[in-house]
Amino acid sequence: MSSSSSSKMIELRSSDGETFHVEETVVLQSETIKQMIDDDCANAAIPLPNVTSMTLAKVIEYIKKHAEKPKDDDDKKVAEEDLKKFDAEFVKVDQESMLFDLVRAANYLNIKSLLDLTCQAVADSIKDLSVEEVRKKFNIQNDFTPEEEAKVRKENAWAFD
Amino acid sequence: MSDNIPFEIQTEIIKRLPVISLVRFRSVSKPWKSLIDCPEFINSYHICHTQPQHHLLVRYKLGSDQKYVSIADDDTFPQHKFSLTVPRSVNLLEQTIVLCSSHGLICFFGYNNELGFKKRERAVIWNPCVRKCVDVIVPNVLYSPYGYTVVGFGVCPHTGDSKLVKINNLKAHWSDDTDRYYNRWEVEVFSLYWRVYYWHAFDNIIEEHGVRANMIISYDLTSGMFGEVSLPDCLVYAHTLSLCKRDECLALLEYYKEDEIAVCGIWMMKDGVTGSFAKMFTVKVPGRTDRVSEFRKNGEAIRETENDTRVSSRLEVYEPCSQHINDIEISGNCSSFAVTSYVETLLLLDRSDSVIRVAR
Repeated sequence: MSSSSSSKMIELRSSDGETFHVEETVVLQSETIKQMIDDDCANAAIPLPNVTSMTLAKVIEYIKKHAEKPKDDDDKKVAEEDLKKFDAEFVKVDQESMLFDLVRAANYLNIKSLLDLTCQAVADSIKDLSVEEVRKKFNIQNDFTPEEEAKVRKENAWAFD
Repeated sequence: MSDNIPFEIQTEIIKRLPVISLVRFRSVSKPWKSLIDCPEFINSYHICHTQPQHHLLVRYKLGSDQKYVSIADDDTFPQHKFSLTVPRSVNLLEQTIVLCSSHGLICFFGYNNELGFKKRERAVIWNPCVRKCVDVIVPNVLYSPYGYTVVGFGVCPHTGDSKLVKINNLKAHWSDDTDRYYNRWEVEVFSLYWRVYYWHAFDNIIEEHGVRANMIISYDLTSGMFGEVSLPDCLVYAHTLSLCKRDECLALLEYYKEDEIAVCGIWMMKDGVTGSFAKMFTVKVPGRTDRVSEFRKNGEAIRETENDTRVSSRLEVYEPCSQHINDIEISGNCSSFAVTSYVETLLLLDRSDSVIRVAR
């Protein structure tokens, strides 16, 4: 790849109309956008109607960090550690809705490593919750009758102690 | 808290939950229950999980009490310990051994005395994380002087099927035809899916020098093929050799004495190439007799070490690079320790506890 093509910029437009300029090499981490570029649909700004500017800014921060290439093997180890720290800090968001927005964006943009990271963060945050709290968090209607629910709980009563 | 999260994304999150949470969250809703209970989800959980939780099961005796303790094998090791309640059928076994663990299932083997005199051998396959177990009555087990029986256990990674492999070695017979002694081998494989011993084979092996010291037979859980693991000569005739798993690979433990000190050499296959075993490191600690029981997921060796009084032992972890030894703070009777590493799995979640008797 020539140096001119590696610095080619791609324009992304968030749902609230803000535009972001990102290097093509960076943005290729998104399978969805890669597909659009491959299909030659990326000549104008790429509209991302499902992603707000706030979320998109976070996603770009993530893919930029993950696009950094270590110079040599020594550097590689340091970079790996650094990336681990970055990932751990990245999912420490103030508002939980932001984490869910990131999960949705990672899913829509099809960025596997970001989906892994954010889904694991959500899983870690809900693993100790009660069944009722999980329903509330995901807006899930309890579709069991009281008898059915009691029966399911009884099958593994020990897990509720 | 959030707007509706599509079920597709909920699934991605559910896949990453620990087993105990999944068992509870079966009662969140019908879609959650169907997903968690579905056989494909159960069989692939431990393979797809990016950060499966590892544990060490420690079985030991303290006085006359049989103890079972689980230790979380992660960054907190060995802080998080809790005692485990094993299935009743395990407590009823005599001469119990922990055969091995495979994909989170632990297999015990032993016998019950039926009617007070007849031995009935059993394997108990147990998932400690979902507290489910299956007992399998193992028929036709040989004891001296008629021969001996070796039993192995493993889970097929592709199907999640549990398999028991039984090899009987019938005492050497003289053959007038060949003017030689030969050993008769019988092999049976039990599949939990099919609930039958489905394969039965005989082979007569003539042994040139009478008795071969060490021989390792492999069984491929996917293809069902048997093979012999070729060993370097020094291991074929090694005095004491035992098998272990380290980092999901076969490890051989060779015990010998060096300058009057008991030594354990740890051998592993180089790059997975059959027959190319290399000694990875040795555990040599003066003044103690000890036995390597298991390896942590990071490769450190877990050893039982006799206390100075020689009536009790304790568990220690040995770091091969620094040769540093750390106490795990579990003490019990001498030579009573068995340690098995296992991962969290959902296997057996969809089964009710049962006993399988196989008609033959």
